[in-house]
Amino acid sequence: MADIALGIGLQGLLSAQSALDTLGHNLANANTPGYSRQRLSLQAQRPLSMGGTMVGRGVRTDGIRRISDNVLNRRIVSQTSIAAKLDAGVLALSGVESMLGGIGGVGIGAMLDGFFESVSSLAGDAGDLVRRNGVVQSAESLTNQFHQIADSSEGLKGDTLEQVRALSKQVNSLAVQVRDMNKEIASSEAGGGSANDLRDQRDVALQSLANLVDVRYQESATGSVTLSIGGHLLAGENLVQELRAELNDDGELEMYVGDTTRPVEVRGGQIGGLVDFMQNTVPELEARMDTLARNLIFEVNRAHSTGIPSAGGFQTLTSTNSLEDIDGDGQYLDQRIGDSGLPFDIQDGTLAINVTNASTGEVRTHQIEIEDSMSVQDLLDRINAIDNVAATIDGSGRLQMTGQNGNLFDFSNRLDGMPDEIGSFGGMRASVSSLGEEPFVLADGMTFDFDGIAGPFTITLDASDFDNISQATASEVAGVLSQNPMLATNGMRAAAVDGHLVLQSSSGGPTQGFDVTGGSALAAMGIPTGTYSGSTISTSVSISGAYSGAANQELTMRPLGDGQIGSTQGLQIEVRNQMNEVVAVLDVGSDYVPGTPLDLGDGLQASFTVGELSATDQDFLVVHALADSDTSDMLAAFGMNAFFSGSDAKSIGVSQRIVDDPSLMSASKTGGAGDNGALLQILKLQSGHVEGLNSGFSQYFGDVVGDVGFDIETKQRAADTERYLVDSLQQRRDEVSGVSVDEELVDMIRFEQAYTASARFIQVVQQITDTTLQLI
Amino acid sequence: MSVRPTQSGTFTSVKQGLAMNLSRLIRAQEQVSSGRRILRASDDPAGASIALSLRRQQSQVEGWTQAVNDGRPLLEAGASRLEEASNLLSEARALTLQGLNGTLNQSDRNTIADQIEAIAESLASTANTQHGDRFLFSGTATDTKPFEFVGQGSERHVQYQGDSGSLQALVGRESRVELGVPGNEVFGRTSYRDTAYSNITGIQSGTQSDWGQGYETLQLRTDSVNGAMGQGVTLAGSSRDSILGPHELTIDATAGTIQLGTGAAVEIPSPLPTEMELVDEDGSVLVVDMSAWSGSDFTTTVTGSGSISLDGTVWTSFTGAETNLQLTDEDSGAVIHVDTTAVTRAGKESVVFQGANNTIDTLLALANDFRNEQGLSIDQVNSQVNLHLGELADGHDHLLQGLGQLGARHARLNQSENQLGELSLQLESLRSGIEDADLSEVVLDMTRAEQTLQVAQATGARLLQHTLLNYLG
Repeated sequence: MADIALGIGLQGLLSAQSALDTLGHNLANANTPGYSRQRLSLQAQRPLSMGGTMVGRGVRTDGIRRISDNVLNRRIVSQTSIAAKLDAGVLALSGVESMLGGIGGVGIGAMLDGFFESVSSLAGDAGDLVRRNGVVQSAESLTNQFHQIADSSEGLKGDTLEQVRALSKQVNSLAVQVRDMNKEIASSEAGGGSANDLRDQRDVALQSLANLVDVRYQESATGSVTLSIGGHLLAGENLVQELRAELNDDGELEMYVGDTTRPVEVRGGQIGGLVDFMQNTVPELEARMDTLARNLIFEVNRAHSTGIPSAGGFQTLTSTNSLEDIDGDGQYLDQRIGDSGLPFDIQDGTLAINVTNASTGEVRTHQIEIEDSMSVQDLLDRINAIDNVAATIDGSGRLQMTGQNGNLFDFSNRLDGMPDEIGSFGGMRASVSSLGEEPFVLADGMTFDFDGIAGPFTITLDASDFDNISQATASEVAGVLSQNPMLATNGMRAAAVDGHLVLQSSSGGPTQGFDVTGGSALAAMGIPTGTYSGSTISTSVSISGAYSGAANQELTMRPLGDGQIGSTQGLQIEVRNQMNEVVAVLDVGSDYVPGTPLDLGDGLQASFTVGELSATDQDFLVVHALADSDTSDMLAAFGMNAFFSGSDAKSIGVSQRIVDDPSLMSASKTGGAGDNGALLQILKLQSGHVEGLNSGFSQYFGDVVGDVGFDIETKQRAADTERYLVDSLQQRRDEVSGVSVDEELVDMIRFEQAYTASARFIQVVQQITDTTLQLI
Repeated sequence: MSVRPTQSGTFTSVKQGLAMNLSRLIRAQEQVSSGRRILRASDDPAGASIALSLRRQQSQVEGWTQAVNDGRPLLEAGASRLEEASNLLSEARALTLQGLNGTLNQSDRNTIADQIEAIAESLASTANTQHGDRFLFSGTATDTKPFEFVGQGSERHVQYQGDSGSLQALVGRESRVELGVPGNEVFGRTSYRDTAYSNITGIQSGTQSDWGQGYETLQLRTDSVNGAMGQGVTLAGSSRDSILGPHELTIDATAGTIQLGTGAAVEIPSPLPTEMELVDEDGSVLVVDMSAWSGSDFTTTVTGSGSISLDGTVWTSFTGAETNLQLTDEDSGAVIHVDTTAVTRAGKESVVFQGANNTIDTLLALANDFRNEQGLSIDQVNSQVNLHLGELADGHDHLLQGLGQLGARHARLNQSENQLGELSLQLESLRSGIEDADLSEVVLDMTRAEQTLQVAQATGARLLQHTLLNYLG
């Protein structure tokens, strides 16, 4: 019996000792991160059966257990990934926020305001050189700010890439640690024990990994874990694959595991946050800044290109943008202008070119049609068809225009004050105009029969003289007629005016005249037969006022009868718009005082001097009223007379010629040195709606800043929530696995007492034994 | 499961609590020290977006206010120049009325002519005033001198070289104010009414309309004189002959006088002259050869025929029966239709396109009238002066209208300034409401954060002290 009792006592002593050891280990590790408290498992020894009675044999230790909750640990790991991703995102976005500048003071918003303020100031005194310099300087500050943001975002991308690479290294070294610990745990637990402290360390490594990347882990029967990211194996029992960050061909960040060629999607952890920032936030921000810069360049240039510098029109002008040799055949002329590498789109529309004689000040206005599909050669041909202006493409693909014979040119929407160039409306020459407008449906062999001063003659049309004779233009017909020497011999001439054909005597006066006697072409052109003769006085039409319409308008005037302005009773002029609607009927009969301006609508007036009008001669006059002198956007696309150069946030700049000479800034729309029409058009952009942005400039930038703010705010809130969740999970883990010093101290007293009791028990057993021995 | 507090858990939660309270305190302090509620867009994205937009509007209002301040001196300078011009015109009018007084002799009238010409020059220099380096009255062509004198002597006149636009100031999103009136509007008129003649030769307007601007001179000359002569009296055929149309020639032998029309009867001198100049009541001249006069009474009708020209180059002969003869001046584009039936003499006729004249030219024309280089009768001079005086009054009216326009625009600028001032205040208070910290509120927040922090610190310190160790001996 005594040996049993001694055994019981010894086991009691030893187990109390072990319990105190474990307790000491717990107290020592009370502040070790990831440490799980350990408990000595105690069990009663298996009892001894002595004659049917079960006799207890004392206590036995059943190993040291680690108190931990694996489900909780798993949740902590996955939650950490989510929170870390958001934290990293917020941190990166704060960088963007400070890059965009604060609410006041600096930043694109303030620079934009500053630019428009300087333009507004220049509008107060358009000729003032100091204010012109002010505009150039504020525009340069603005473009510098764009560059700075573009540079910062490049820097931001570089920094972030470095950061991702450094974090990937950490991931890889943690993966190696986990694999190593896997081996140790497997070997130490092979004997059946539990590698408590190693498991704690591995849990810490897993949580560190989760902080970096959204790692998934799976524990095998041997106790080792396999790690994977987005379905790609990172570490197994023996194997470790490297996580890598690479830039793809488009400069986008991609993550790879091991040798796989398929990028892995990282959705969590700090790396997940940074990858998201690199893949989404930065490109979006860059795209928005580019859109802002692009639209600013385009819209300001649209207004500026149609303005006139203070010194008057241009002698020569070279585009800032150049064509690219898209088809690689070494020439530009055969390309479509809309597909020749210009940074902005060209629309189908009209461009006004005004040519001013520098010595007389006389202005001739011209409109050319521009289509996106026309070739560069066509464009040059149409410009070159205008007298005294020449256009070429230089060796580097830039458009160059030159005024010739002492003429200057500009592209403003100024009114043509004297629209009747050849006298088709009450001129002194004998004249008849086609009622029809081009294209004329003519055919090979059609004829014109005339009777001029030298006698009757016939001109026959030849299809080979036309591009397409069934779609003949007025200038083709005029060209064919003029080439026939009979016309000049008979004192006649032909011209094309606004799509109509005009036949005239070559000089004015009542003795001049010709007959149109017949011919098969007459009906197709709408020219009546008859005798036409000149007159002694010529009607001069002047157009005044400022056109207030929103769109470009063509007003066609035709007399409703024959007679003399200011004398013939009831003489009227009908004015029709482009839609062929009558917009005004002007009384120019006996009640009209010649020279009095009559209202045409939309802010325009026309006045007529004494002269003879004829409805029989089909007198007509087209007045071009322009709201936008370049509806084709061709000037902005080429960068002719541009204010800003470049096409995005990186390349935006102030046109070098304006930096060199601020007096070239085109403030005027009328050609008057003090006019500020172009500046007022630029100012409209400050708060106006910009089509390409679907809002205004400042508003757009405000939205960018606001969106970054919103993004930070929502991410921060989410991060706070997720962080709180991690914290409360940690709290729970602490509650389960943490060391409570008081608890340990209470246990210490308990086991100390148990030890004392066991010792006392052994003493008692010994006394009993001694007593027994003394009995012997 | 029951809560099982542990030391490390307690430490962590105390630390977190302290950190949270401290950051709240720091945030409040940041707001107090900067005076702003929104420092970064993320502080209040919606507010930040509105604040940016308000700042943009403030910048615009600032621009508009500057435009008002830039524009006002222009309008004020323009108005004071026009007042000066108005005084000059009043002075010219007084001088003209003085000149109409029949008691003045030619030298007095020449003095008046010089004074009026000097006024014309002052008026031109007033119209050519610059404000800074900008001409006030040249429309938008502010670097071009608006009025330039061309021609010499009686042909001297001014040319307007500016344009008919106006500088504009943008003083609101859609609100523009014109900062002046172009010189061709205040110093000249472009609304032609009808044609008037100075009534020297008897020319009249024809049946059809005319068109022209400013002043033109219509010249009539006598090419030949015909008449049935007798009693030894013949026509001398002198170049001084200036009669046009039929004139009565009467010799009264008893009185010994000869008379053309109802002009002064002139005594026939002895010996009989070969060239005797007769002047009729209109001042037209006929020279007759009296050397072979028989000494008897004689009455006949002599008829002058001639030609007429508007531009001085192209001469059209006329019979005196035309009711609608068309004449043109190629250079100026003027077209007139005249009635020659009442023409009695050759000479230079002033053609006035009424309502289409430049005031400076009108003054020059008045000076020319008074100089009377054609040697016209007082009545004829006065008739010309009256014609031009009417134009002067029109010009003055127009000047005053321009002055009124400038005044109205000035008033609009003032009104805009008031509105912009109010708008600016509103925007500032809106922006401040969104962007600036409400100090009392922030300070309250700060105090609250401070108190919470102190409480957290105190309780944390107490909590952390509690451990069983304190009681183990």
